[in-house]
Amino acid sequence: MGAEPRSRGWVLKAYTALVYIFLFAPIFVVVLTSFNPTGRATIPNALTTQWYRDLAEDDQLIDALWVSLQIGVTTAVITSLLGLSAAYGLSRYRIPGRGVAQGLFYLPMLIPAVVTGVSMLIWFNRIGIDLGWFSILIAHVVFALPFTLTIILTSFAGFDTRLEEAAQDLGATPWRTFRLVTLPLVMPGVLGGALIAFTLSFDEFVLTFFVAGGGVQTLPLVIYNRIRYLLSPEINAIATLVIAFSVGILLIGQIAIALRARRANRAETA
Amino acid sequence: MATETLAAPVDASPRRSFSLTPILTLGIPTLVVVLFVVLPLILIGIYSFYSLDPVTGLMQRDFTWANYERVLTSPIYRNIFIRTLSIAAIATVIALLLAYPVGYFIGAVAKPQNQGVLMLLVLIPFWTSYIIRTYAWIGILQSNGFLDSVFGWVPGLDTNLLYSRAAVIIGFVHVYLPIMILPIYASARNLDKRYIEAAQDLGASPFSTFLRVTLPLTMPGIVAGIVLFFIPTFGSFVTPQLLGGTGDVMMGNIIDNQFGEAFNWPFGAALSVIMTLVVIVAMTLFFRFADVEEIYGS
Repeated sequence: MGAEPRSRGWVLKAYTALVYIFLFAPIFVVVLTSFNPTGRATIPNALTTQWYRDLAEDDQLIDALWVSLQIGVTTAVITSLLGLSAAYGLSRYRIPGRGVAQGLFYLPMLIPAVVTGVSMLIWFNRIGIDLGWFSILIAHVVFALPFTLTIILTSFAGFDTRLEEAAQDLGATPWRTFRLVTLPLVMPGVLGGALIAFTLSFDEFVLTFFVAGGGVQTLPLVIYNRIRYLLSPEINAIATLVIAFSVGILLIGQIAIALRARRANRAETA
Repeated sequence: MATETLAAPVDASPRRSFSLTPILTLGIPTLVVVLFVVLPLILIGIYSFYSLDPVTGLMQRDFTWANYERVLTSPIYRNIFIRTLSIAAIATVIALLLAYPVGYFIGAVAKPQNQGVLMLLVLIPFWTSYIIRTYAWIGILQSNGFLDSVFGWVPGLDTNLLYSRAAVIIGFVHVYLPIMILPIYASARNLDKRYIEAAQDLGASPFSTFLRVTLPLTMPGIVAGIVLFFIPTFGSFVTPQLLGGTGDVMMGNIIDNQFGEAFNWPFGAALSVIMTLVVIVAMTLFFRFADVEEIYGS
């Protein structure tokens, strides 16, 4: 009996390892191909940085990267402000319609993105908002909001409201209380939410595809068009950079959380 | 300043009940979502009853069921609908077979100090662009692609899978596997292992312990994982576009086509409404099923 669970544990471990290989293999292949002189996804005979040098001169990709960064940062700022506002309202007040509002925030998570995308397209068309930078921004904000809100709500959930009451008892105005007590305590959640919003915006494709119009092209749009219509080995180089960038952001977020937890632990034991 | 500080505590609580803050803090984000998500969805519902003028091809703002009739009676669209459901279902089942053991391993078997790193590793591919990960499979599955260059020497092994049903399903499973592992991991982590020990002490075989204790207790995670996986898969158009052949066209591609080349917005709107209804029905069914299981389990 004692040997049996151990052997099953071994099988489970091997199975898990295979799934991890499946998850990482495509990423590995893209990175490898970005250094392959043939520009094709094969085991390379030599390594080159040729495609990275080509990439530096590819204005279309560089412009698209710049557009994606700008929209991503703007989305992060607006979404985290909206998320903070909504999380504050949801966790501090019990007003009628609260549940409905919360449900609405999660709507873009549940409706298929194609449907949200085409709905926004006909809506912008109907109310006369030009397709381009601004319409992409709106789409990214409502798409990222449920994710950002979830993270900010978590930081409100672990919040001792007596701290706010104490501040108010000591005479702080509601705004001062918010700025000096509430905000610093939920700040990790707000920053985490902003980071998620940036990443989601940076990688968003389906909504952007429908609401971009012809003029503004984000990086995922350019990559999609290149994949569909022409062979372009620089795609592997830009993809590798995007992967490194996204993973870097994720790791920075995780490290920040870990450091904070350790500091909190130390403060508790001290 | 001093008087304000002194006065504040006295009338702070009565004033708060008339405060505009709750209305503003919830109201502004709600307004944004209503304006740019709810109203667009209502509008697409309205458009689904419009028609195209047969002569000019311009949209007529009338009221007709013709778009829905066309979807439900034409064998072409019925086939595409059934195909979309079956591709999404097959991908979901395969993903569950991969995700459950992994989620269970991380949440219930791995050492607690390793869980964070193992989940981070699951999330890294998820935070890598959808388009890039789908693109990666083109290079792997195409003829003379990566699979060929690794396994091409194996006689009789067909590694040229690009533009096939198999490629579409592989793409879906890979792209959305992490969001299925996540809730399964969460429910496995919260699993009270004393139930499993109790079942084994009472003489249950490992198999029946799994079937009658572990599985019901992790059912909420499984259901959440299935729903989270099924919705984007059923609604996808990118994966079949990039990895599938002409026989793998899904509903999302037809919708995309109506708003692109075909330029028939009312028909595309009707397809969108039907897709949304399927997702809502699937969600309701799954959550009801989950509740029943939970009651049964307890």
